[in-house]
Amino acid sequence: MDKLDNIFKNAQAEIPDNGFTAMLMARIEAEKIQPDAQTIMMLEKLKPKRFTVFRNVAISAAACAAACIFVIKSEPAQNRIIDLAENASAKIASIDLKGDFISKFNFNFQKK
Amino acid sequence: MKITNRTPFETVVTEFQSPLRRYLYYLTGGDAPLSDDLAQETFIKAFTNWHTFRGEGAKTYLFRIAYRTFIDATRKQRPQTQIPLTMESSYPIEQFEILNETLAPLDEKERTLILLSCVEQLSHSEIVEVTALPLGSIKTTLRRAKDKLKQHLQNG
Repeated sequence: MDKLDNIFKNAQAEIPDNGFTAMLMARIEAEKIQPDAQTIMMLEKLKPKRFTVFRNVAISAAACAAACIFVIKSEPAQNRIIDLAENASAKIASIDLKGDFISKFNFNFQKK
Repeated sequence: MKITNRTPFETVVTEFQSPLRRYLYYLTGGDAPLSDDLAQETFIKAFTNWHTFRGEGAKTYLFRIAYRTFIDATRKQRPQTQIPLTMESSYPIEQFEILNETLAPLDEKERTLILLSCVEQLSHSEIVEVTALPLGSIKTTLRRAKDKLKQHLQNG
């Protein structure tokens, strides 16, 4: 095997999931809920921030989830998103997702 | 595992998050946060259209969306992070940087084709599906890119 092949082979290393799937599913779950007018307004406010303030993938998922939790009235929907967000948060050892949001935006992350 | 549009989407993400994020990492020249943003966008787009997935190669399907997402993103101005956030990268950066440095002399097209062919092991016909480039152009560009890389390594 020549040097170039060796470099290509080494470059095929796996990237650990580290909560990526859970965070993505939290965002999907948040986005597929049929929002009411108030929710849309809230999400619209957050949307530009997803890739500026919240460029980090963990934060973007949680921002969306947090917006839904904050405004959606349906308790089952809220609880489902909280579960997903908590699951995502739990898989990221280096960041306190919920703490970060509660401190910055006063979102209520308490399960009803 | 045979992926169909009945496969739970979470399974699809779990199965392909690593190759897709790796591909985007190299395409972006080693920008891990941007790679994850683009990977997330790719999966969201795939999820939205998942009912149209006909069971052809799922990897090719996702890479095609990722490639277009990357092209669209590079045409826009890169957003700035306004609040610094610390999060340990899950990318094996040191290992990945060797290839990143090796690919430095390549232009974007050459880099894309080398990644798809030599790292992600896609066939030429799959690369046609991902990039929509003509087969002849892909073969010629790949040959030229490999020559450039060999030359670069000899000189380095």
